[in-house]
Amino acid sequence: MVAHGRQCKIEGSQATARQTAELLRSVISQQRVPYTNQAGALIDAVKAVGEQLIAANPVELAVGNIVRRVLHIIREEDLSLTTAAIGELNLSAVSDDENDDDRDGNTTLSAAAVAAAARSTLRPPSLQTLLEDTPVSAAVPQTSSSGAADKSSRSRKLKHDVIEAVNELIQDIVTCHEQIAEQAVEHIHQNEVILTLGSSRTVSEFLFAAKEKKRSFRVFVAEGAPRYQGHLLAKELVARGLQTTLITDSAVFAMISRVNMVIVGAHAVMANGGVIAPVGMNLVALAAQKHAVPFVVLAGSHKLCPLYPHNPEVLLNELRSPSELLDFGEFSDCMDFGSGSGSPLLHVVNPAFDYVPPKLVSLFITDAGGHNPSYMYRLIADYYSADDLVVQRRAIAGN
Amino acid sequence: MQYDDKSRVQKLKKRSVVKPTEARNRVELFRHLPQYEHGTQLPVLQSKFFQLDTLHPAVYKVGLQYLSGDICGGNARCIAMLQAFQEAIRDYSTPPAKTLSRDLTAKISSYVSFLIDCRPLSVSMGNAIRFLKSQIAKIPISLSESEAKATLHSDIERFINEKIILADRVIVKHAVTKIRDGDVLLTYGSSSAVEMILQHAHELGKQFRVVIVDSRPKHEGKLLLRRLVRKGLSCTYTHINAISYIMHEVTRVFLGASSVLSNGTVYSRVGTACVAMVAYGFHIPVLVCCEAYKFHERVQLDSICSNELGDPDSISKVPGREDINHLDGWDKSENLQLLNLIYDATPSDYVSLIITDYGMIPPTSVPVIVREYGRGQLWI
Repeated sequence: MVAHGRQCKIEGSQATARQTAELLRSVISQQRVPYTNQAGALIDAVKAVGEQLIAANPVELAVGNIVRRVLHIIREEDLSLTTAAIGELNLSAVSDDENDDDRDGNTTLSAAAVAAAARSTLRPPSLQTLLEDTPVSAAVPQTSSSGAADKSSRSRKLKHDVIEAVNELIQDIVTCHEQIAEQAVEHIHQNEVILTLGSSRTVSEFLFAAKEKKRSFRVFVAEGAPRYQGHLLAKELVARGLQTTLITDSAVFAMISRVNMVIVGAHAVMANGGVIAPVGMNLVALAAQKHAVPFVVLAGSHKLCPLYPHNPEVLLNELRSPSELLDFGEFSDCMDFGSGSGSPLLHVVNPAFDYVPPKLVSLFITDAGGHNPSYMYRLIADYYSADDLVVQRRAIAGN
Repeated sequence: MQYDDKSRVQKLKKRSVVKPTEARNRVELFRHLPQYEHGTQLPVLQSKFFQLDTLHPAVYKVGLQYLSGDICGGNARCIAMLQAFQEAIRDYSTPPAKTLSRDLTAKISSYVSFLIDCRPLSVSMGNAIRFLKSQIAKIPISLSESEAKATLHSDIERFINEKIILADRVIVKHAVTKIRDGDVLLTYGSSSAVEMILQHAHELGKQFRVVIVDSRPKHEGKLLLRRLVRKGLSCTYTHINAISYIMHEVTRVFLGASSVLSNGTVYSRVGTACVAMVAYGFHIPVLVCCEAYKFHERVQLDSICSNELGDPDSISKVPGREDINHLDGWDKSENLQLLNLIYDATPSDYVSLIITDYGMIPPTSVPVIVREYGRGQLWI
């Protein structure tokens, strides 16, 4: 998959996210976990693979998102298991007086283990934990009092739980379009005029769902040079019976005064609510703001990235081949490097992505409902842990 | 522009020489504008050459050049038309029992309707025609035919010289004062005035870079790019979707205009409004270079009430990319329309300065120029 990532063979964040999740699931199921610190071992294994995947294609943010989601799942499952164990420990402490032999049957944890679980960063900080200086990985210390059978059953349970949760994640990724499309009827009324740019599967499913519910509306599709995916979208919409007009990107400002709503898809949604979208989207967002037209972004939750965009035009962008804009043969006679300083007189710039700042976005519609751009940072706490923002294996202690 | 009124359209069709066929899949919002099938008119017109005795060959030639797109751009079209009229006037002879001014005016009107059939008039051409008709009307009856024709000939010559050629030189002189060393100048499409400015500034030895923004379907920026690179200017070429990316480096934006209207709106090639909007968002000054004869007293708020519609087939096909053929046979489905706008209206708040031959003025001073240097005085 790393080779595929480098060659950008897999197109589309949804397909990439799904492949990443399936790959990590197989990594987890094959990973041999030691009896102690299972979660730590799983986390290390996932981080190792995740680092490689992210490095292969840093612009495809969905890969990093899924790696972080899986890490969060591991931590959560581990926490819920230890919480359950602590609950049983309390019970067993109560029943200690009655039956000492029952101890073996319960999963038992030493007091140190309980304290460590309390320190886990998934829990809100208490005065005890704030002043302690602990390594961040959720290392549950040795549980000397547990029997061998308990340990193996616990480790199997952790892996089992994690794999179940990853399966749910894959299911969510696959069905995100349906869940977003269900909300279509709430936002599109009769005789609306909608503008979109390029082509996004989420947007087309959204519009089809509204059409199924017998809303009649018209769509202006901007073609989205230089990939011209707007042509594809126009063809699909017409096949479903929607009134579609295809316009060039330069005509967006001219036509937007007659548009009721702009609905677009995104490549990634950043932690501040900003959007990484196909090139040309910032133009549409600015024009929509000038004419007070709502700018709605549709994004599945696998596109939500916990990183803050510093200098997104350069760092989160890809420059594509100039041949999409200029034919080399046409201009080869002008490119005379033998003259003057020898530096080229002609540069061609062809970026693939655009950054739309959060103040230009009116609404995000995700599979978890509709949100303001200012709310997106809260969703990050649901899906990701703070420890995983930088996916790197920790250096071995004692170096 | 009332092409949604059936009776008017019928009358027009009877008079016209070109006999255009209406386009299929018309865009509803633009019903009031002519939408014709392109591609069918040129061969028909070519075959009719020897049958059109009412039309002067020079005017016919210019009409063909407009139809095929060989002559493009406000100044070029205006000059070509006026030179064709000069030839037509030279060959003109007053029929007996008719006055020169009335008959010649009628003849010019028939030429103009032919040119409109080939391609709708630009504002520059409209103003030039108004000037010519007013000069014809002013000819005293006492003048002999040859003297009248000579007067008209020299009037047209003076118009072209003063209003276009000298005006361009004045604009260039003003504009190069706004270019400093180290500037990165952005321009959109291909404007003759901006090209002259850039070339002159380069000859003066100023160090600057040019960013040329281009768009579909005409790709006019490629022609400008070729000419500038040949002259040795350092250029960056990109398409209109990427202006948010490139605008970080830009220090000034120079734009051309087809016309500036009396509410300060700049009526220019489609896409100019997008470029001006993004530049305004980045706090970059936008300078529009426009000769004063292109100003008009009309006002316009948006790009839809008055515009020109081009050939929709040029949108469905992408030259050089045969893999983009999803829209073959687009006219067969009634749900799909293709819209090829030629012009758009840039609101005056996005424009910092308009450079004309009357000096450098803010957009709010345009109605002042239209009125004070009003039509009577403007042409003296």
